[in-house]
Amino acid sequence: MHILDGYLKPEVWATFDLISVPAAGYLSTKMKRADHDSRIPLLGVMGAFVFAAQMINFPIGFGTTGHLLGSTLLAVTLGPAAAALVLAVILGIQALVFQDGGLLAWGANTFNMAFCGVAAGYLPYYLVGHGRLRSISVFGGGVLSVMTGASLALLMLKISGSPVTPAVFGGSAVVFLITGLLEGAITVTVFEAIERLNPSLVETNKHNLRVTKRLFLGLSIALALVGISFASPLPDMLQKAIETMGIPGRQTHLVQSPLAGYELPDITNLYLRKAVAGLIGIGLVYAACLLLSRSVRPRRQGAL
Amino acid sequence: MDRWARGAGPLHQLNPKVKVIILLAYLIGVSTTPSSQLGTLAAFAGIVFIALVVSGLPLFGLMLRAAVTLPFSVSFALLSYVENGDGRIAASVLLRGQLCVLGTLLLVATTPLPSLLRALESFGIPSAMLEIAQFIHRYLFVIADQGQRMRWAAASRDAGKIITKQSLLQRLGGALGVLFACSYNRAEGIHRATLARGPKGGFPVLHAPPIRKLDAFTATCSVLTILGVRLAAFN
Repeated sequence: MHILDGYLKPEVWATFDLISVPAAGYLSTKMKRADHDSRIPLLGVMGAFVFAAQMINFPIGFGTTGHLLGSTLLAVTLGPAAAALVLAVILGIQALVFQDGGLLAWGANTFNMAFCGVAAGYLPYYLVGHGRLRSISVFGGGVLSVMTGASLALLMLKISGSPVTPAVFGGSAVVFLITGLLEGAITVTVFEAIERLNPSLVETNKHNLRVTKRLFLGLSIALALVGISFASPLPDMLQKAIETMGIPGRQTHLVQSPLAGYELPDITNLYLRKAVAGLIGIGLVYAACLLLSRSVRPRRQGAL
Repeated sequence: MDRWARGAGPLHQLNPKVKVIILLAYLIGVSTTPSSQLGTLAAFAGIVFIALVVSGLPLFGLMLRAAVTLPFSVSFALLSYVENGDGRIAASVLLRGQLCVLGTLLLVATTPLPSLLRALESFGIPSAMLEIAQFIHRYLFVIADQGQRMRWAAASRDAGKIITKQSLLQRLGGALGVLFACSYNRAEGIHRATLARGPKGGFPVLHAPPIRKLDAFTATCSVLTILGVRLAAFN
């Protein structure tokens, strides 16, 4: 889901431009360094492939059509860093030439789809992609990448004061889920076809994590998902349901954390407060995940 | 779009760097305008309309192109109307989105992509990203054509009827997988050809057009006008 220019508040698009521009710069220098030069034409042609694949629509019933989005496919074939860079460029071209997304909103769209979308799409493959669960992990990655990108876009629109009511959010969530399931299904069939054609094209997953580490990572991802759901407007409905059922004030805070109740003090708008607090929460969880994965990685490489 | 960009109107002659600066100023101006200031947005609409007329591009074609985003903007404006009950806010939501689209469209329709990418390079966009963008632009239609040929081939094999027991999804997955592998091989071929041409390969460096006095003058005037429109309270 591409956000167009003019729909995000200046604070929001500026923040995400400030995040995405250096990140994309880092990825490109990493790609340019050493003998990665041969990958530049590859990334370009694969970007063109994603564009072409998006043009091939197929009927999914009810008079609508679907197409491959490709972030998970790129992540499991080219690797996550290359996939993120290609998608960042694709988003730029879409914003400029195809009126899909915007120039100022590029940072936000890149953050949603190129960085978080690819990370979410690659994660299941990274965790369990080397064994029997390979296909399922690719499928799950497809679902997750679409859901992550789309819910982040909705969240950003909501922080910007757009009328994303719980009803709108619920309706879109259903649409995203269907899109995500389709994406997962196509990705997995394309992935298997590529593997049959030429197994060397698929990035072999050598991440043979031990069960405890896998559980550990899985748990932190589950935590991140809980963080997202807290930031989403859906719990507002949940809260309302609880209030109307007459069980208010039951929650007790064991630890008075700075983000208690996911509300920050000095921000007046209730939705805004929750969304901002939720985003900070996600950021913290993400930082924790990053640290965890950093601490896990060196030992794994040592074992290989 | 490429055909439009090869024109020779006054906006085509403007230095691409200058055009990017003006567009950024314009986009920032439009997107920081609060929804309550419908007058400011109307003034921005006036600016972009003047630029459209000056550019000498087909007005109707451009408008049609910009209308691609209408489903999104209209549904958003409707939602905002339902939520706030204020027609002015809904109108400014719609206007702001469409004005940004028109401005971007004007840049791309008056600047060929290679010179646009070169202008972006001088703003510090990493060369790796720009090279990837060049490759995408070059091979997009090659690969799309290949996909089209594969569809024709499939249609001639089964005469439009499904004669295999595979599901639609499997056939689609297989076709996309073949396309993927072909694209991959093509990329390897390109890389070998680049290596054969010389150690550096890459893109030939075109001479970036110098910034003339007229360019500097236009840039200053446009940015000042945009700033003036944004700061003046039009209510």
